[in-house]
Amino acid sequence: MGGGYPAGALAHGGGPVKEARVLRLALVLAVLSCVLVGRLFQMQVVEGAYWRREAFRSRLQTQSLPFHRGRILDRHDTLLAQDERAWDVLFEYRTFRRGHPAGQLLEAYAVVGQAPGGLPACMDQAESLLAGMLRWRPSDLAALRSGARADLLYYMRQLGDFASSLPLREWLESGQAPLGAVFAREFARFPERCAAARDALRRLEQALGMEQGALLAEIERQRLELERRVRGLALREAAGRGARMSAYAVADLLEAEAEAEPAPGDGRRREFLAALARRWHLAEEPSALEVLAGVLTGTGAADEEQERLDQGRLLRHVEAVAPEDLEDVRRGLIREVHSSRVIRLRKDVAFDVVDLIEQDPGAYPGLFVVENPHRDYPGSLAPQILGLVSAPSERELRRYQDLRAEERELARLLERTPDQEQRYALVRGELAAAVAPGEVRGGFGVEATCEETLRGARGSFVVLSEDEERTPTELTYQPPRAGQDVRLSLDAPLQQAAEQAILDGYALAAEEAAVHGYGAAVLEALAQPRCGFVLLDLEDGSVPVLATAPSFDVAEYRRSYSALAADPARPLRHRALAGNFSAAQTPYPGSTFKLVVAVEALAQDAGWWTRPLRCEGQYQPAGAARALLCEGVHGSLSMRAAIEHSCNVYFYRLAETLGYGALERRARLLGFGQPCGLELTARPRAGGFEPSGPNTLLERGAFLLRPAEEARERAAACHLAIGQSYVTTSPLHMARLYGWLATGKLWTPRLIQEQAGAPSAPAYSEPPMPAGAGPLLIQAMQDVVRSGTAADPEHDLSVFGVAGKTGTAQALEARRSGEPEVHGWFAGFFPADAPRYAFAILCENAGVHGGDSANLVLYCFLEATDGLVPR
Amino acid sequence: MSRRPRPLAPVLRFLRRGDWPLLPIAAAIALIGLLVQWSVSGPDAFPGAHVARLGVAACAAAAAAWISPRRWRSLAVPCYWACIALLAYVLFFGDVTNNARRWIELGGGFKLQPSEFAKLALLLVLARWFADRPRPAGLRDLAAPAALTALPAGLVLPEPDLGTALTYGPVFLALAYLAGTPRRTWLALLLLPVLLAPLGLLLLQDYQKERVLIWWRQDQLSAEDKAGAGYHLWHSKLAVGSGGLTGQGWSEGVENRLDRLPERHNDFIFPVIAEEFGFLGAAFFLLLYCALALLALWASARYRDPFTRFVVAGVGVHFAVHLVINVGVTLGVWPTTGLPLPMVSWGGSSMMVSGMALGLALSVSAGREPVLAGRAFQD
Repeated sequence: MGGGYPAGALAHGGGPVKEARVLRLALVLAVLSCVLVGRLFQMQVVEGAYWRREAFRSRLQTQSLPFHRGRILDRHDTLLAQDERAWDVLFEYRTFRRGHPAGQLLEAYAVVGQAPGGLPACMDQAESLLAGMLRWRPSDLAALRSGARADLLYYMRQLGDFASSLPLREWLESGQAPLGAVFAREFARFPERCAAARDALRRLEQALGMEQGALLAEIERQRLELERRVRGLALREAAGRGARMSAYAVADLLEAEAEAEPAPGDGRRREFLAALARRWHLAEEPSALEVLAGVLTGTGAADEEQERLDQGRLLRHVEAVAPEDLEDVRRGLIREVHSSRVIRLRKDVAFDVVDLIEQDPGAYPGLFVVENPHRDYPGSLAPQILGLVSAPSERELRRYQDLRAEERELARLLERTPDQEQRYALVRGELAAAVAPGEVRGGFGVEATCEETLRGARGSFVVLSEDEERTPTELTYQPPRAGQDVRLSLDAPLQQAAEQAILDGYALAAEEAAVHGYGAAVLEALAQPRCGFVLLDLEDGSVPVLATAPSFDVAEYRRSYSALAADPARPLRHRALAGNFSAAQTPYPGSTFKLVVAVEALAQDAGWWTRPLRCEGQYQPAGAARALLCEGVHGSLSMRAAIEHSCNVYFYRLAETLGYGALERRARLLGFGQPCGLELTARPRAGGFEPSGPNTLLERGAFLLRPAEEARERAAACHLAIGQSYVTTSPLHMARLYGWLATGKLWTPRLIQEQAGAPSAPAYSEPPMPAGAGPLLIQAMQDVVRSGTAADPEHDLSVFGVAGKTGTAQALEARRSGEPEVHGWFAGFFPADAPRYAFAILCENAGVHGGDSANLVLYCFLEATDGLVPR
Repeated sequence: MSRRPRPLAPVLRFLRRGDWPLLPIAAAIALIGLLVQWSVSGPDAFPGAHVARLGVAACAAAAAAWISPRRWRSLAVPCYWACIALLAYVLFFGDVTNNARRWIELGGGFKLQPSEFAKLALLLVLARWFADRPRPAGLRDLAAPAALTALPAGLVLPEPDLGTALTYGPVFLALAYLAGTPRRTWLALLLLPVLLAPLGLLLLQDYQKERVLIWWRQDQLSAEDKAGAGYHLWHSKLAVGSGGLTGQGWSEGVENRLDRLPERHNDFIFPVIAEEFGFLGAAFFLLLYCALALLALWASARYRDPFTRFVVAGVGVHFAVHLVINVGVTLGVWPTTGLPLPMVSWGGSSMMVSGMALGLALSVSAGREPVLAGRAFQD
């Protein structure tokens, strides 16, 4: 035995192999196997529930269902804002290229580095392109990288009828014959599919009212846009690889330093570009480097098409000279860019388009319909007050993403601690309230203030993805909940009447101004009304009218916001709330403030009502540098006459006697120096109001009242007395004041009458009126209308029982713009014998007195509304 | 007097002395592999190509078994150098598929993967080396076999094929251990890769480093990781974990059916087994595979001839290494690397080499040299 064995084979040299070693080796193997079995046990049995759930979750596709926001109604349930059902067609190129023959052909050719000329060409020449593909042999494709091979197999499988990609893979890896020779049967139905795809596109184009080929051309445009993004990112990635830095750092370096002042030698940017040019064998002249920087940052080309072509040229060059810089870059970027790109192809499509796509979604890969309720504002009434909805901000979107990530993280925990459970509930609640991408939220106005009421809850529709043969399983359907309604105290007909009255009143004022020989600037100002008009219901503090001019149309706002924002007439401002005035621009109340002085005087001494003071046309307060003027020389006159004729000198003298401090305290008692409490602009808090959210601009600067220590001017009390310094206000505020003069109640204006069916409670305070002063002051204000500064025989307001006070406030900041420097005021109430409404009208930069402008607006309004007999 | 020819003698000898239990176990594994491949290709598409490969592997096994151990011994060195030559050829002129240069085009749709055959050649040459020489006394005695191992590994790594290169080392370590290398020397040898691992990390390509990082934080994968660099690992774990105790049933595995498991016919075939047959099925498969390796190892202890011992043990180690790496990767025990599971995965060369390895083990074990009781070898 063993005759042929080499020497030493049996003896095994120095010593025999120990069986123990075999055993130990076997033991090691057994232990390793046990580790594997143990791990298997852990994953499949111990953690089985978790992995089943994860596997299940990974197949879930959740679709959010949009909710409808609640309606905004006026006090008579007239619709002011509502959501309208509408559908948009969205487009996702990723799904299109995977599911449509044109996309499949284009991408399959792109994988092998050929460009068949865009989607329209692919659709037109689909059959011949496929014929070309069927001539491909595995040897032609041998140089493809693994990712590219996988992509190619995918598209080939989609183009033909394959149950599995294994035969194709086998062909690609070990086949010899051309594709068509092996799989003729699988590709036989391709022409039929192409014809169906062409028909489907044509039908959809007809439904969308597009010309033949226009839809595919539009899709091609979107594809090229995506391609431009991919190329841009690929170039930055390649540049980053070359410089061993991230693509973001490249962008930062090129963009940040390009914006900076060009330093000598241009620092790191220049070095970077020069190094890159060397690496990529490009010219190193400064102009060539700038071209390179332009291509890398996307700022060098005249248009996007040129940019895409420049990128393509550079990419091909880099691929040739430094292929390692682009290795595996493009595929990853395509996945990244395409997966996050859904484009709104058409908005507000007709229902037959919806029907067409939904009936046969397979014929329209990448195109899908989403319901996208549109906020409609019938009549575009008081848009500054109603506000608008807007898309979420970056911050809100980030918050939504963060919450979603946290919710997912908590949801996947096998077991949650009580703290985690609590946090989970909280996060889910916050997530439901957070604004998701694609949703809208109130931007400003009532839409923002009542967001919680108006906002509904999004629904969801969860589908379990399955393969093509199985019907998708609908798992859960959570219907969306519509938002609840908000009823405002605005009265739509009255509001419209007020808006019209502003126009009519200004027309009358212009006529009168022309008669009285006012200059062109005034006539021009009166031709372009800038007016705020408030009507306050003295029964419940509601606000039936909050009108402003000029205003804007919601469609115009959406279409050309920047033009509106730049309009010198500032239509975005609501003048009844003194909206968007800076403190320096906020109107002074002018002579309408004199009633506050009168009240303080009567509070200190009722004898002031009859005690005469002399007016000689001007008055020099003690220590003042110059004399203060009056509109006329009124001689000796009582308080009643001083109010009737709005005598400044009377009130200078009176204020000097009373002192700034007393006037300031009285004004503060009557609500000056603080927000008036309109829900839109302020929310109640202990001891007063605080500005409310996004609407603070509406009333900014409208409640300034300088404290005594800041009023250092010797004549400060005199200036304050005629409302010409130290105090600013808004028409709404003045309407409250005159409402108090009429009824003794200082109302908190109530715009929101009812939210989600719950009425809001009227609120007012009752600052003390000096005994017996009320009727006296009302008489004086009636005199203003009958025979005083608001008297106009042709437009007699006394027939409507109006009592009020005119005012003319200087607007010195208007000097810069060359506008008339005078605001006209008229504030009061009616009917004087049983006051029901308080009003205030501000004619901004009208150039004429309040008695020649604002009273005419009121007249037109009352005439149009028959004196507003309470309904 | 001339002896009457006895054509059935080798068969009888094989049945009497050979490690024939390896055969039914291997057949069972191959059958499971066929079932799983069928499930992967879909119930309506029988994997005829896989059956053909199994047939080729069976023929290869028979051929290898038919060659006498003595011939195998004499073929070891030529085989080794032939494989080295082929590996060198592949490196420069090989056929590129999946961005890797690993194959030689044979014509007629057949491709040869020399790195697979190198596994067998290395096993033979190492077995012969250790069989022909005295027990290694120190690291110096192991330098030459280590170089013999490093040479093919060095040629395979740039293909690139890290997975295959990783299988060469353990075979060398196992045979060195069985050859009686002193424990201290062997431990030093074992520590060497551990110490060199940080250096190895520097040599890894970017995607390999990314896979290591993904593996390291596999419990905190982000959505981007799951869709990107961690896709293989995540979906493999989803498939394995969702198999539960009894599995989802043949061809009913969701990850398999929905084509979400990459390379599931090849390197990631085990998750399909785990998903469709559950813990019971997958553990049975693991134990079966482990039994194959253990049986080979155990059988090796029965032979006096060192070459036979090393070959049979090496075959066991060959299967064990593939099992541990392949399954470990799919379970997240190791970072992701591509390595087929012999007799189950789809690759033709791998299948043929598995068959030949089995045939080799059977051949040497059924040789005519005496088989003594294992006890006789004890110290």
